Amino acid sequence: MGGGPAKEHLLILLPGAEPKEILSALRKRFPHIEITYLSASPSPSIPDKAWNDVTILYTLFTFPPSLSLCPHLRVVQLASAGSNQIQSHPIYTSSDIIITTASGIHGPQIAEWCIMTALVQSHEYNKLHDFQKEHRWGKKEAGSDFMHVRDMVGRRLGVLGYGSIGRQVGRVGKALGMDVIAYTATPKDSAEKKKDQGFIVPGTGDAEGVVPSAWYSGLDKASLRHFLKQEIDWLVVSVPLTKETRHFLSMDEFKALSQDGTRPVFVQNIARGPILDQPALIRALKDGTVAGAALDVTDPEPLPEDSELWDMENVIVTPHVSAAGVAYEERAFRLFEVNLERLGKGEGLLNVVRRERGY
Amino acid sequence: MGGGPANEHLLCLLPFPEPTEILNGLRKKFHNIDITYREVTYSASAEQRREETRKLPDGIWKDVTILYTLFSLPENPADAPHLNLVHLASAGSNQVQKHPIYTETDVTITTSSGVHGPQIAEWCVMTALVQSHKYNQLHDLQKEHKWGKTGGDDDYHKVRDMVGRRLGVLGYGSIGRQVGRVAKAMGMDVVAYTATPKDTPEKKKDQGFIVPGTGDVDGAVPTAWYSGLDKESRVHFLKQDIDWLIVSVPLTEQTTHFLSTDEFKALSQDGKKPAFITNIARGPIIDQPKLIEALKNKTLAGAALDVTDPEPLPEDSELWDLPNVTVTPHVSGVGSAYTERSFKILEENLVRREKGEKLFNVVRRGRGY
Repeated sequence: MGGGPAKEHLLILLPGAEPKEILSALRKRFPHIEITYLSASPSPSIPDKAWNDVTILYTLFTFPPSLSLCPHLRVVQLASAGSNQIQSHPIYTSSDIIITTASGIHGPQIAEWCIMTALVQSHEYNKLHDFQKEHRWGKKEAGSDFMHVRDMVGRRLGVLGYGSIGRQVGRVGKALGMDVIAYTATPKDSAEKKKDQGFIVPGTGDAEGVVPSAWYSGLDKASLRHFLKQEIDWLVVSVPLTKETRHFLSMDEFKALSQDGTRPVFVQNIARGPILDQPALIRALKDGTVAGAALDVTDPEPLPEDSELWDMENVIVTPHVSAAGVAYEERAFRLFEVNLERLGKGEGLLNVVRRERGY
Repeated sequence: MGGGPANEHLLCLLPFPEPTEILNGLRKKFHNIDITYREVTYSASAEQRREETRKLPDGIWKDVTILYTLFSLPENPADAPHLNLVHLASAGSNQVQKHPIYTETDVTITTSSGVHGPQIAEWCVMTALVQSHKYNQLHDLQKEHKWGKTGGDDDYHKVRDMVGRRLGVLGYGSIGRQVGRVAKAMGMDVVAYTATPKDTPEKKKDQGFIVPGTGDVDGAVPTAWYSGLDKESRVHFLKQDIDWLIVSVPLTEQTTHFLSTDEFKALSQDGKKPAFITNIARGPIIDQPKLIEALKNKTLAGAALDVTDPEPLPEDSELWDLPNVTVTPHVSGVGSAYTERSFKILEENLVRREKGEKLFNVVRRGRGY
């Protein structure tokens, strides 16, 4: 009887301009998929009937008003790495619709943000920038003020959450001469488990899991603190936000990390603000338990104007931009293409959200 | 008869406090070497440096066999008749190249090339990312307690990361190799340029001192190699679709004003693909007025300069305020591990010397570095 895969109806709902080139490439590649694009901003008014035939939804934060409107929906591909924004929606809570994320595309640009902010701190870039604005060639003779700058060779990078973002930070950390140790929710005690089975931007990441010199795991406090006590100089927080990781790091954890403030440690958060107990972080920064921090995510966002974090000299705050980049859209669609391919062949998809663990 | 080798005398004349732990370590390891350390005052001026050196006690040079210094040399080589090794605390040797010890003797001069890779590479990566991620804008927002705009139209949402972009390393020495290593980890394609062809695996190797965990000892990082001190070869290299150029050649007669208008045009495909340029070597390698022109007319996308011509950069230089230009006061090579690593090279060379082996980082006077 008729050949070829069943007709799919893909609805793409994204903010920003219509990605015409990408869409026509998709239409060419998947002629059996009818593709509709609608703009998701500012406030999308999507006619109910646009939902009726949808079998695949590609979206960031726009979902059908009710499940009954889209009886044929079987896959929702999110354009984000996290899935928190869908977790209170009936699609998540009351259906088995497959939800996939764009985890895997964020590594490069977020890792660059991490490297940049760490080096800005260690090389005292803000001071150098101030000199430049004043047209000043340093305070005294060249170099005399910066002799205490310490490079990263031989220092330890702790990656809390060795996922695709963590792996890219690890990769660059290793190139800088660092020792990298990894932390995951569940033990990666075989070569197979250490592998990254997801989408990897070519030329980046750590597909085989060979970068870390040691691995740690466990969602309980004891396991977490055991990891944090490993003489870490620089901690990157790259776990998903789940009920287990909410306030994952609080005063006790900061104390473990810095051996009660005796080890200067630099903490970076590029995941979700609530993973850090923010008032505790502020106290730890003020009393020297934590030497410095770089936060691209805060609790809440936007960070209120009167938060003490803004003015702390050893703190960098940026408004959730680390993942933004011109390559984002292209990579997210590249990943989505892989999933469309797999869907057509009846294969397992990349980055399926496991509802029982929350990511 | 007496046993053991004759006593050597190492004199350290350096512009920082005595690193006692390191010296004691050396004394323990080399029983036959007497070690004297004197801190000298740092000065950027050649005249002041000579003045500082003249203040040293008479006869200080008499027994010296090994000198470890930055810029303090005996005014007259005859004052130091037993001197046979000078180890410089810098990567370059320009500061001694007019001195009679350089011009009129065969005294072996070694440099601390190899210690700078890690911290200078970090400075290169930092300043490139500060520009590409619009950090200065983000910093200003932070000072104003402003949580940016949303929606993606602003500059800092249009960040382009380094994946798939090309790093050109003009001067694939120890600093260049470390930048290459990190760039590769960031997903870049790296192309290397050297004075002479590296057309065998052996020649691609780094035979010098390498800080463990860094560098590119086998020369495996670059996907392509170029070479040649003549303009044609240089321009050919620069035309290789480079997005980011690192200048890490030594300053020699041949490399003075190595990069001028023609080179900037070649680099940016006649202005169609403006490139970003980083200089951590020596200011005069770049024809600075032409650099300023190229930045102003957007032939170049931006620059990060830790070295200028002259230094200090005069207060009224246009470089200070040009958008997309970062200027720092020759600090990229300075770091707390420097001293330790520079002494490490000396230590390794003392071992090699004892065994009659070839030393690291010997300056070849013929080529100027």
